[in-house]
Amino acid sequence: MIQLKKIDKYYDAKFQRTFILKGVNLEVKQGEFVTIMGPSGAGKSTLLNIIGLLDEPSAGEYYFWDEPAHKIKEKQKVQYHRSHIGFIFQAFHLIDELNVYENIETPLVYRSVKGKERKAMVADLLDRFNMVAKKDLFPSQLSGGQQQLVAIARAIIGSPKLLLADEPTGNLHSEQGEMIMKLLKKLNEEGMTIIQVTHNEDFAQYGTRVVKLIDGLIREDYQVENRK
Amino acid sequence: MNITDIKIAFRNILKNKIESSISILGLGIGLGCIFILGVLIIHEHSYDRFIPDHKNVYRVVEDTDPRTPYPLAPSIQDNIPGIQDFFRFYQTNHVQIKNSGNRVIEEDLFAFADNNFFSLLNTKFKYGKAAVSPTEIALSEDMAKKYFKTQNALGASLNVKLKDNFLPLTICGVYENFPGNSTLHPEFVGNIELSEQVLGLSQRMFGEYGSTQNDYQNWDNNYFYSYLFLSPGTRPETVSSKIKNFMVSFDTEKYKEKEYHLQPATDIYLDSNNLTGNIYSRTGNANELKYYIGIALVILFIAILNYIFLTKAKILSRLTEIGAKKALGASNNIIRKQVLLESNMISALSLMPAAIIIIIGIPFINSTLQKTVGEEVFGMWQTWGMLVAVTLLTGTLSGIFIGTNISRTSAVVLLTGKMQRQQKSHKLNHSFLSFHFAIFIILVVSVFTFKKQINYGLTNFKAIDPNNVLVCELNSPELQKQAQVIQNELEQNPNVISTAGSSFIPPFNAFLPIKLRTEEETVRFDGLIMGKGMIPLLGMEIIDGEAFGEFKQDGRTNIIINESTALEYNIKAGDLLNGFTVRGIVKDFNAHSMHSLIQPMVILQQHPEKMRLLAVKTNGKDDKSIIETIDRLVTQISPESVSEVIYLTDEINQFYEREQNQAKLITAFSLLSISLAIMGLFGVVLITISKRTKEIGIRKVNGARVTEVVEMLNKDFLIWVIISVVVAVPAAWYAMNRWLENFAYQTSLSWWLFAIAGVLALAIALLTVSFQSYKAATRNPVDSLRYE
Repeated sequence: MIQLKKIDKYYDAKFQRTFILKGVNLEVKQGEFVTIMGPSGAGKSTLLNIIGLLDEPSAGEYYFWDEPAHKIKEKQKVQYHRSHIGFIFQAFHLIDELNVYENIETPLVYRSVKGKERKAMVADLLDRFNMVAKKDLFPSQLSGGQQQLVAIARAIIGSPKLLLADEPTGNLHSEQGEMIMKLLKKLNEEGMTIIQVTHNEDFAQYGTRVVKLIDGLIREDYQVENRK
Repeated sequence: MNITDIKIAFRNILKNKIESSISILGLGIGLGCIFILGVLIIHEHSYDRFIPDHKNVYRVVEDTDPRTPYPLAPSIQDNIPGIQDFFRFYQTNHVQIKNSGNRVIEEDLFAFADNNFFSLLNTKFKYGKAAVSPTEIALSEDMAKKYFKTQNALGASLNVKLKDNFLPLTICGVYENFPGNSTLHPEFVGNIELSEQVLGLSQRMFGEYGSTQNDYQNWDNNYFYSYLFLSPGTRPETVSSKIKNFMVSFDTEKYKEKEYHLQPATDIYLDSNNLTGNIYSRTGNANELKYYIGIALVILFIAILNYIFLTKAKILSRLTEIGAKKALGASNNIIRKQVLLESNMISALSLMPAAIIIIIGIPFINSTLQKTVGEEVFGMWQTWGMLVAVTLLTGTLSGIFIGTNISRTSAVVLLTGKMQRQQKSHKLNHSFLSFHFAIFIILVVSVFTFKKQINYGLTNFKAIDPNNVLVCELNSPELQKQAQVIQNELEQNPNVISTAGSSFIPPFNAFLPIKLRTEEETVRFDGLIMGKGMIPLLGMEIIDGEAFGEFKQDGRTNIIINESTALEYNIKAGDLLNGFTVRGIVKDFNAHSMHSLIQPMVILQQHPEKMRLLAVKTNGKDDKSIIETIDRLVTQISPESVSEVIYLTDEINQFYEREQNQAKLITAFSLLSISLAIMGLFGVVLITISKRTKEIGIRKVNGARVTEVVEMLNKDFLIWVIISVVVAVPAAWYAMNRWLENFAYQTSLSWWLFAIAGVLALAIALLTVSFQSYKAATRNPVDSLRYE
């Protein structure tokens, strides 16, 4: 599903080129749950952003469903975001001015889904996430775990093929974190491909595969054995 | 655009209450100003367009005077094809009318016109019809209410003094008030024949020197406007050349030379400034509004800048929202549309404060600029078109400025907060404040300069003292004959210093050109006609010869001249000037307002029984009883006359009415500009402080005192105000020098005018910033650090 070939990402300062990623080769198959781990500054988030088409590699090739994603234009990227890729962030990034219902609905609006259909889809998801009672609340009225739950609901409402999670539990305490991880695992079991970035060794065990990144290089890449 | 965006926009506006109110109120002020001026321009261009078929309506103008002879219009209609209809119109002022309580009121818009005047101007009668005989009068709804407390005043009688006695006139009709955009707007319209009574009356003010003809309804006298209604397809040039041919057929040489042309009726309002006799019509000036529109645009610009800068500063806290949307699949276009939607909503909401500005502003503009913008302007599509266009333009332009950058920025940059880091630390761009305060300083300097010049004009008369001079109009032949009796009686009063009669009392606002004619040449002077004793009464100084003595029949050849005349012709007292004997030479004095230079002048002596005005110089101790005495004497001699006693200085105040009104208008503008500047500064300080809360906390933890924090915050803002002073002072100095060129005698542009304006701007800025920075500086640093 995803193929990265010799991906470089660097910034040019005055006389120096700083590499964030260097020669990264990575293949992710459909149905995998990959955890990217590594110390701060290793380039995890950058890698995730490149995979999510939010950022562009400085060099190298990136194939998404065998399409050369490093060549596609800004306008087409929007289409990928609308239909193929869902995001969750450490800081949730819910829209403060919209309530739970409206936040979850937003991607559907951008995809021009009709009003009735939208209603049904959002209601379905709210039901599934046990959040029907909270649909009229605003993000500031929710706990961190609940906010992340809304963010996940928002990310998957368009049934993306790929879900990208950048430290989804980073701002949560362990209990809430576990709840989120269980949910992600369940989504993965239902067939969604997930790539997450995390610092937490335990939470990596929810995935199927771990990729360790140090100083922009992939140092380890192994299958999880005793998956939680 | 979709419902979600509208919701976000609304909730955003509600969430940032202070910023939103500043933006909405500010834009409201800006839009309000521009709307008022826009409405005014539309009004000015709508004059006389309510006349049916106005494209075929013309007014006859002879040379530069639209007043034409009485027989002109009917004669040319008989002789020239293509003239469907015509009406003649004459209007007089100072007509005295008795109301139901027998009190006498003076009316100025008393007109005489042909019967079809109303139907041709599409003015409808509420009751009755136009006057068909000289004993009838039609009046406007307003006047019917004023004199009879009811609109239906048909058949009632009105006592009107057109010449020497009150005549009873029967009300034959009450017509709808003329709209505010009509150049002709008489309140009373009598039959054209009735005008005979008043024509030539104005000659009386020249007394001994006026014409004493009896018949003025002839080819020799130009009193009447002649409006021609041409049949469709008739060219005005054809008609005017045919009028010329018609005039040539006269035997009298004088008539043959007359040149007539046709002025389109719709040009009368804006395009009559080069005409001398356009006295019955309202007139406007296409250039006059230019400056005010400029200022209004500047005010709108300030408001837009406020909005843009505040929103740009505030949007930094909304970057993640936009970033998240992009990650969720919002294209640049969607983001751009959202910003545009928000800015247009703000600008639409600002129509509410704008409406208030309009409601307050239109009567204010009407009174200061002497305009007559009425309700009819809101019935025109142009007004609403302008309203919608300006609102959309304001919203869209500011939206484009705010949104372009943000919408192009990629989601990663927005989400990671790199955008904030790209901006040079916490220093936002506050340069717009310089513009705001510079405009304020320029406006304040203007107001002060205007006031200083007006004050100078009221107090610095050269060689003439208009203080403590009471003036009474002698407006009936009896009063004029008995002037000496009144004078004698008044001089008994110990508080009266002297009295004198005159036809004109300087300083006065009009000009009286006097031509001294000999066989070879005609020389034109600035003129005056005065009675005996007037020169010493006004404190004018005779430097050679003597003032007027008793009037003698041959007195018409005795003149007094001023120094300028004496110098120009190199003559002294006793010499002859174009056949007139120079009796005395008076020191150069200001006979008019400070707008005009002292000109060579000739003063004639008036017959003691033909004075129009009576002046009383008092010691100022008991003017009240003197005024009472005058009133009593006037009523005794001429029971039907009403004459108001006024101070000469009150007349002089009116010389600068225009400037006073300009000062009022600019004061209003400067108040608006400073409120906008304060609002902008307030908002930007608020945002800055919220961004720097952490910094302030850290500084305080490290030992900074409150004063140091306040000082630090003030510095960032005051530097822009100081820059504004530096920019504004030369600009204001230049502008005011240009303005003072309107005056022949000018006050000086003192340094303190600029100092006051600069200090005022600094003080206002200092107060605004300190108020908030003190609050921020006294917060517990632990709170502010935790806040991050």
